[in-house]
Amino acid sequence: MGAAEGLSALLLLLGAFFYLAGTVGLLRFPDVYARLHALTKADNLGLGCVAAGLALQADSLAAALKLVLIWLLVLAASTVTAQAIARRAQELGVSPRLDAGSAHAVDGRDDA
Amino acid sequence: MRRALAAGALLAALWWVLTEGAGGYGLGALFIALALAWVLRQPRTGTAPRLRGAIGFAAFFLRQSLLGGLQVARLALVPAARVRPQLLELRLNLPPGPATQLLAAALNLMPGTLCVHLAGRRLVLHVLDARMPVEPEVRAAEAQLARLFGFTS
Amino acid sequence: MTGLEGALALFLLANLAVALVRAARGPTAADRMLAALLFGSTGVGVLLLLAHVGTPPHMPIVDAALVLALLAAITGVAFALRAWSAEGEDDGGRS
Repeated sequence: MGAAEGLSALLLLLGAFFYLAGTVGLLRFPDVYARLHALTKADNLGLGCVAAGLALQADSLAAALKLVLIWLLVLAASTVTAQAIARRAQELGVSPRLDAGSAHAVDGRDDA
Repeated sequence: MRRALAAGALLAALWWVLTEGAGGYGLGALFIALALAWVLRQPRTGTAPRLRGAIGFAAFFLRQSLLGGLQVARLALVPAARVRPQLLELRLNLPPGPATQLLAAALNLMPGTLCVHLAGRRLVLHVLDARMPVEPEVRAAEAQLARLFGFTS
Repeated sequence: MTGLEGALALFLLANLAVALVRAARGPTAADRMLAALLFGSTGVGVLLLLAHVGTPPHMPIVDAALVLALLAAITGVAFALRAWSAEGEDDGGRS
């Protein structure tokens, strides 16, 4: 097994790991807002790793860049869709479940 | 003229990637010409992205989205980990328009931030883990975008 | 190419199935919209892996993944534009 093939397999496994993390996050996180975090960040990183792993097997630069292009399209799709879902959830009156200890901390930090 | 050249080069590269370098450049030229005509008819927004800023932003974005995925993986897979969500309201320095929309879109993929409301310069974020210093991250992303669109040198 | 692709495609399909069931159960309408995200990221991942089962890769399946990604992007933009026009570009309606 060559170095490129080994790296490719490693990236594919890493991709599967991030997809798994996204699914577990979807099951575990408390509300739709937190679940959106799980699906946008973890799944897209998973797809990025899978695309990079497959790009290493590509037999031309253009074919490899095509996989990158697909990844960028899905990134754009996910972020725009996630934001629209979050906004729609607010309109529907779904209030996010906030951490009790930090609900008043608006500067993004607390001392816990 | 510069705009036409840049758009034309990008479209030609896109055709090359879509066909995997297999040719078909006669048909390609037709589509590139049509797409270029459409692009050049669009009104100018006054915010043309800079090449150097784009490279810097791409590197910053890749690193941040890797960190974002790792953070979600840790919060999801470590049994003792727990999300500590909160809302954070910020006033942006970037002028409202493409720059703020791209900022919100990028923040959705960066560690712990999700845009739930953007109107003008007012941005409301859902933060996944209240212990993370989110505001410095947002300001760093803002600075990157300001360089991308040439608002600062 | 290494035999890994087929196994991982099945693994992603299992992820997709579990996630879709979770999304369909809600409890809110917003939770059910998460299915749109799943088809974008996981669906495209499955297609890309399936294209690379066996050598050489089946590039038409990569093109199918490209079209699915494009459709996901268009859906997302349409959805976002609808959400914006519904709310208007005010500067501070929500308290």
